[in-house]
Amino acid sequence: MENGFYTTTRRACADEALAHKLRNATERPRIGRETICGELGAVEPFRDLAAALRDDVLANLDGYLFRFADRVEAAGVSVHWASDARDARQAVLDIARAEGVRRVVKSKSMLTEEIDLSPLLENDGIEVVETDLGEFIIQLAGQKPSHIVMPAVHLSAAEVDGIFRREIGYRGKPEPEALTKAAREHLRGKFAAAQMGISGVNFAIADRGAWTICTNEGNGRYVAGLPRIYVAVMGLERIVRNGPDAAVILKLLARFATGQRITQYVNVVRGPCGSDGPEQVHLVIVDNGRTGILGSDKWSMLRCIRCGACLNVCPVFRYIGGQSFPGCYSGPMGKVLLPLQKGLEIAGGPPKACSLCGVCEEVCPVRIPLPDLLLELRGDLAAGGHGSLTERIGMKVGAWVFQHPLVYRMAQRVVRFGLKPFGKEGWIDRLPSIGGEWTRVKDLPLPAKESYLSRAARQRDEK
Amino acid sequence: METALFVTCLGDTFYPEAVEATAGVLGRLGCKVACPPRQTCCGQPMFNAGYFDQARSVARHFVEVFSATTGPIIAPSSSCAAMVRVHFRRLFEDSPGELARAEEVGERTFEFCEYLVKHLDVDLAAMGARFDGSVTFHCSCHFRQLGLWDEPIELIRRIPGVRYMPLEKIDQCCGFGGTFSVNFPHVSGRMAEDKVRSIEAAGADWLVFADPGCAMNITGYANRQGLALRAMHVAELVQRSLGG
Repeated sequence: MENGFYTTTRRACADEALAHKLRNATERPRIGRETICGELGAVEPFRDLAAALRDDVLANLDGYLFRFADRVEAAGVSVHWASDARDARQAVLDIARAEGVRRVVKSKSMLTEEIDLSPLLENDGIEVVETDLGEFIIQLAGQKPSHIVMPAVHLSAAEVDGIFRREIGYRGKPEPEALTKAAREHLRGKFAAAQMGISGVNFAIADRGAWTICTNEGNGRYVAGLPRIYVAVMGLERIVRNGPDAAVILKLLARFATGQRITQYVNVVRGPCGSDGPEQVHLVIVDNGRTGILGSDKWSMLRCIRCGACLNVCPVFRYIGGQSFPGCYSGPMGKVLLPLQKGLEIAGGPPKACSLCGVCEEVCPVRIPLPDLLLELRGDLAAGGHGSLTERIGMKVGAWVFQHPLVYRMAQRVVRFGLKPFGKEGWIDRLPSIGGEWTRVKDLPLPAKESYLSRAARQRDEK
Repeated sequence: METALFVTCLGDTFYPEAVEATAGVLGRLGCKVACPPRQTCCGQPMFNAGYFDQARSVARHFVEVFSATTGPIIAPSSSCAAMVRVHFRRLFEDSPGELARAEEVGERTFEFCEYLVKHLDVDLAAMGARFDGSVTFHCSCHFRQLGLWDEPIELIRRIPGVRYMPLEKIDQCCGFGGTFSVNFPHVSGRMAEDKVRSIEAAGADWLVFADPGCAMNITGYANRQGLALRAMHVAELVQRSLGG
């Protein structure tokens, strides 16, 4: 598990162009967030409120969820419950098969990435077209998203130009505006021809029996409104109690995601309405590990509203990006969520790829204690024997040494003695074993000739 | 005022001069400084790696040693202070007796700058302090955990003669992170590179740091790049300004 992640992150770190793109792309929303949050006056009480609202929902999830499901069913929506990713994608495929659907348009949804929906539909001969610009680009490129909000953030305009030329015969200028226009023209026909639209759900409003789709490109409303059949896929924790609560969360979502006051389009869906819009509306409610997380000591991760603010401030994400992760989520939230969903065998590497600097927790709009959760996951890794032999022995020996002051002082001397042959002018540039990982990129200062405590002990003895 | 010196294992091993300066400055400020000889480490390396049982054993030793002291416990490291003040609670949450003792020790544990600015409110000018030179400062991540922010800068600004040159992204992690630096050396290296670049851009004579871990990481990277970075702990800066 670890080796894979070690390798992918190492490759990403060596990519100068990627670092440049990630820096530019994460900087803009970060500055936007800082600027626009000032407008809320005191943003801190907003965050406290949002966290409390999320906690209330999580504490009473079954009640809210069933109330919500009853209301949408009463409005004519077919509700499907899926316990895992397999059930969820099968539910969508079954709807498509039953209706003879051959063409699908999608708006951006991390949940459909999580459950790996598109490949299953495509295997059945169904054309699936992503209509969010970023998702459209990476779909053409055959890649997975590199950021939960800005999926094509790792690609430059020149690279997108290359992809468009190759995949959709683009012959315009390699400039963002022209490329966007080409994508829009290409997608118009797809919208018109689609028999089914698929979207995610940003928030489901329990007492209204309605859900929201937030987009900046307006593609969400075409997906939900144009095709004959509309399928929404939602994670079962995406509930808010009522309209006013939704307003609080939506205000924070846009501000913390992109530094906007609100996303350009916020569509509220309440089911089929007969004369206009889709004939059929389906809602697939997906668990896929969420109730397990809810019952664990890491339940607070379910507060997450997927704004991506933690990705934008993370100094590690800035170099490793999102595609090095073993799953669709990345950055600090992904380092917690992936191991919880996929297990430590598959996703045990990410929780370790963090210096615990704490800046993610500082910006999280719903105050998820991300560093604490990462620490607990490291605890699970250690307790489960996932650490390397060197690490396990090192920690045990270290702990023993630190409980014996005289041994500790002796160990310092032994270490200095052992390191000395490697040293030049107070620095070591090459070490074996675990030390070699340090000296890959940095020199190590030689320990002082005499440690502070040794000297203090000597001076006491001399008196 | 009686104080106890929390040497920290990295300070002890790699930067005894910073510890010396911490004790020296506290002495100049009229504090009586006790240095418990049986102290070792706070257990943070084990804790951050998820080895909670091992961390607990080390923390227990720390609490035992420092329970016997009176007055504020001062560390030349925000990271070690945060371990004792913030994270010991997690380690002893299931053992009320031990938790109470750990909290008693934790509540009187302070980072050096925090103690000087927030608690002693030192007037370095009145003490005749002076340092002629320009300095920039890297703010370690654990100031965040301690609920601190500009205490070190405030302390530096209180030294007459100092030209303080702010570091761009002053509080961005330098990439140390304990075992992180050896588990993901390539990522850690890129983060250190970022930090060293902004230090160069600040153009000060000195880099002042508050945590030995950050210092090892930043100067270690700079040295590999052949850059002669002049660095000192903030306690050394204060000590020099006082003619120590």
